[in-house]
Order: sequence, then C-alpha cells, then structure tokens
Amino acid sequence: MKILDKYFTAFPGESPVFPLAMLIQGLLFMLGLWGCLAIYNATMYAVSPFYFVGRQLLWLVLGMGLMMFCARIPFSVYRDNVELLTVLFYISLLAVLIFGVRINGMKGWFMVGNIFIQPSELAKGFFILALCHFGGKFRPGMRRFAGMALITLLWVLPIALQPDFGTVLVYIAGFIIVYWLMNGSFWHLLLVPATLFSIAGWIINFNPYLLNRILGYLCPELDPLGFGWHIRQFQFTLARGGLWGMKWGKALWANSYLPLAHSDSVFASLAESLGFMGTFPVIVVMGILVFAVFRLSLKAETEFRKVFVLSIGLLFAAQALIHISVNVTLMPATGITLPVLSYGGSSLLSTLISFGIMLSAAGRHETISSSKVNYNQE
Amino acid sequence: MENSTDNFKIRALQLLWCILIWAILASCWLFYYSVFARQKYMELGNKIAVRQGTYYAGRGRILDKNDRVLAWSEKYFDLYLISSEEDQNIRNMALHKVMEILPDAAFHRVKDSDFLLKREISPDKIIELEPLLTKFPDLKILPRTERKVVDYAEVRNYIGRVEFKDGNQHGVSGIEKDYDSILAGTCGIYEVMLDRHKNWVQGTWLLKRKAISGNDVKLDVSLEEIKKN
Repeated sequence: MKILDKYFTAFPGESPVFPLAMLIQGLLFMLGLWGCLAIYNATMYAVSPFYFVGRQLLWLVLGMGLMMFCARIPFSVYRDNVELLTVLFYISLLAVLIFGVRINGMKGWFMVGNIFIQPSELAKGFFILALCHFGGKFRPGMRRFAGMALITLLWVLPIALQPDFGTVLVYIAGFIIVYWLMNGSFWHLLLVPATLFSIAGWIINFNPYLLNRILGYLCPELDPLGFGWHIRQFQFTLARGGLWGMKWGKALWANSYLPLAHSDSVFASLAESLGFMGTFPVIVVMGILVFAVFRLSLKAETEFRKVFVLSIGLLFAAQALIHISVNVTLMPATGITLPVLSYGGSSLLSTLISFGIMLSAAGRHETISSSKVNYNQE
Repeated sequence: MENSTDNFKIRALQLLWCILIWAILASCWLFYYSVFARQKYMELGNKIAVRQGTYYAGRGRILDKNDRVLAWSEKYFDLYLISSEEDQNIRNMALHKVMEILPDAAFHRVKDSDFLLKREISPDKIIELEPLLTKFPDLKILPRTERKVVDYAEVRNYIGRVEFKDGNQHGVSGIEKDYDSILAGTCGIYEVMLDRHKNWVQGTWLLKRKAISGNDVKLDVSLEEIKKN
C-alpha cells in the first residue's frame, strides 16, 4: 500500500507521478473507444453499419465533456440541491410510464425528436447521491436500513413497472453497496435476498412464463428452441469465439441469433470476434478502474464523500458484472447494458456524468470547514 | 476519524473482494465456454444453424441436327412472403414497401401462409429489394429454374418433360429421359449458416463440392422433321 501511495495520488499538483483522476478519465475514454469498436463489430452487417457507432462516438465525446464539466462543479452544489435533484429524477421516472415510448417491450424512454432518453439510466448517479444523503439522516441500525430500503423500493417501483428488471437489479446492488459502506449490518442485508426470493417466488407462482424462463436457465437442454433459447445462444456465441476469436467483424452468430448484439449482448459479440484473449482484458481494465476509484475514495475528505465516491465505482462494477454474468450464462438472461461499452446514449452519459460528480466529490474545489467533519455532519 | 477511515477501508476492501471473486467466477465461465467446452457447444450450435444444400448444375441443351436449340434451361428469381405468423398488418406493410419498388406486386396464395408477390424479378430490382429483406425477414427471393422448349406441340411431345429431384432437373419422358445421364450433370454441394429466420448469413457460404454442368445433346433430326412426325 505504501508503494501504491507513492505512485497514485488524487489530483495534479499532489502527485509526483500519475494523478488518479487522470487515470480514471483515461481508462473511461479507452473503454468508450473499445465500446465503439465493439458496436461497429456487432453491427457490421446491418443496413447502415456506421449508424450506431457514429452516434456512440458522438455520445462519447459529449459524455467526456460533461464528465469534465461535472467534475469542475463544486460538490457542495450537488449536495445542497440533492432534494431537488431527487424529486426531479423521480418525477421523470413516473412520467416515463405515462408519456414514454415502448421499445423492446419496455416503456422506459422519452422520445425527443429522433433521440431516445432513458431516465432510469440517467438517474443512477443521483440515486446513489440521494441514498448517501438521506441514509445519513437515519439513525444507524435497523432504522437506517428500513429508511434506505424504503427509498430504494419507491425508486425501483416505477422501473419495475416499465418493466426493466435488469436496471432494478442494478439499483438494488447500489442500495447494498451504500448501506454496507455506511456501516450497515450484515444481518440486515440478509433480508434483501430473503425478500427478493420471496417476491420472486410469489410472482413465479402466478406467472408460469417466469418459471419457464428460470427452468430454461437451469436446464436449457430441456427446451433448447423455447425457454432455453437465449442461454443456448450465449453458449454457442462464446464457443465460436474460442481462445483467439473468429476475426474482427465476424460476430456472425451474435448478429444472427443474439438479441441486441450491440447493447445487451455486446460482451458476447466481442467474445465471438476476439475470443477469451480479447475479452478478458476488458474485465481486467474495469478492475483497474474500480481499484483506482477505491484509491481515490480514500483521498476524499469526509466519510460522506468517501462512501459516494466508492459507491459510484462499485455500482459501475456491479452493472458490468451483471451484464458479463448474463452474457456468460452465470445469471439468467435479463436486458442490461455494459457500462461505457454498450450502445446507448443514456447509459453512456449516465455513467460519465456519475463519474464526473464522483471526481468532484473526491476533489478539493471547496473548503471544508473542519477536517473532522463526519458523515452525518456533512 | 482514524477509526472511521479504517472501518471504511475494511468495508470497502470486503466489497472489492466480493467484486473480485465475482469477476474471477465470470472469467472462469467465459474460459469454460470459449476453451474448455468449445467443441461440444460448437457442434450443438452447428446442428441448429449450419445447413448443407445442393445447387443446380445447369442442364445441357438439346439441339437439332442444324444446331438449332430445341430445349434449354432458364433461371428466374421470384419474390415470396413466407410468413411464420398470420399477421395481416405486417403482411400489408411489407407489400406496401415492395410495391414502391415493384408496382405490380400482389398477393397470390401458394400455401397456407405463403404468398407469391412477384415472379421473374430483374437483377436491378433484386438489389433494390435487399434492404427490405433485412427489415422484413418473411420476404424471400427464391430461385426457380425452368426448362424451356421451342413452342411447337409436336416438339414438346418429342423432347419430353423434366422434374426437379434432389436439387436437379431429371428427364421423365421423351428425349429428356433417354439422354438424362448426359444432360443432367452433377449438383454442387454447399454449406451455409442460417439466421433465426432461416435466411442465409452473409459471408458464411462455403463450397463443399463444385457443380458439373450437363452436356448438350445433338439430335440427328431437324426441327422441321420433328414437326412433320
């Protein structure tokens, strides 16, 4: 750790070698470019092969700008307006159920001209901010757990009604991360899977379709052309990739059989083209990014900021791992993007804006009156 | 402060370990399918998607003693709507789009939910239709080979008929039957990957056996003699 401290410090001017903030921004940009290549690879045989990659590149440039802009805004601006931001984002989640458009069976997008905006993606970073803020207001213990769980429940309810269960899963992961970092009890957290399994069991009882999907995940060979179809296709796609991949642009199986090869299945389509040796580095780079965020969180001045900074990094990791786990059939199929790499302006901008706010929280653009400010005081 | 920072660090590291274990598990799964069990899943996948087919060899022509062509084969392309679902809206939308390119296209029911929209499409129209085939996977352009004979009843009887069998034309009566072994040739064999709509995936066509065209047959009678008899 001492050696790492020597080489990784928070911001320019403090660092003798390499500022962490620059490393994080550089890695995000690199992953974004990697994503553009992955999207092009997955849509090469489409009618307009440059349509998706062109738009994604535009979003990436805009997102990088927004990240830098958000990082420059003093963190106190976000913190002081957290109630307003929470209400605004919550209204957008409710409004999309009424005014939104349905895409791939989910009513989760606003349509502005020919641009689609997904509020549940954009709200992720602000949800973490709200959870950190309101969580600190509850007395530690069961009361804090119940309060934060209630906020999460209210937040995910409109998303579950879209229905977008993949995103619900990410928000629940966000709740677990924030609660745990705020000295949450392990025993309280056990209530989360217990509740989730009970609700899932209750829903499955009334919905045989979901039961078949779970059976299809557990034993795809029982119904390879029906409920086991998606799991089977992921397995075949990865197998075609092998160790070194088919060839760049040869994501033929992903293009022909996988749903949304450029967004929800982008990791599998990348695995088909580049093989294990080409996709494993994506996991490694994401790991380095999360570790850099961890190191950065230790530099933050107050506990509130530490929790917020690390939660953003871990939420990014959790979403990435849910996507990868679905794509490698470690988890049942659910639609979720691979942050920064998958196609989608809302997903990309949401991640980069969250990282911008995170960099602001870790920075020292404002004076904190006392270095001994604790979590609840800030 | 010191205690709280240490506590945060410990909890953060615990979460990082969870993430690391999850990442290792996902990587192991990836390795299993890409390397360890690759062969098994490749074979299973190929059973679903890879198909072998035969392609027409080209039947030889039948000439009279003056080298006038009496029978020959011609290839045409027809546009079909082979619908898996009886969805009238999708069908009408597809036809509407097709009619922008082929104004005289119309529904002619072939089977339960299969419709012939237009026979004998020209190559330039096929190129124009290509984007529509991606948008409406139920639209299909299917090749058809027709055996043509000079338009005299006596000649048609004398030359005889052909039928399609195993991807090739075979004579079933008249000269076509008598000289079938010379005229027929050998079908080519190819392998191709199909997508979930059973359309060919671009760039996957693989030649397994080259087709050998049939030879021409020259008769020792002339067209006029056949007409007289």
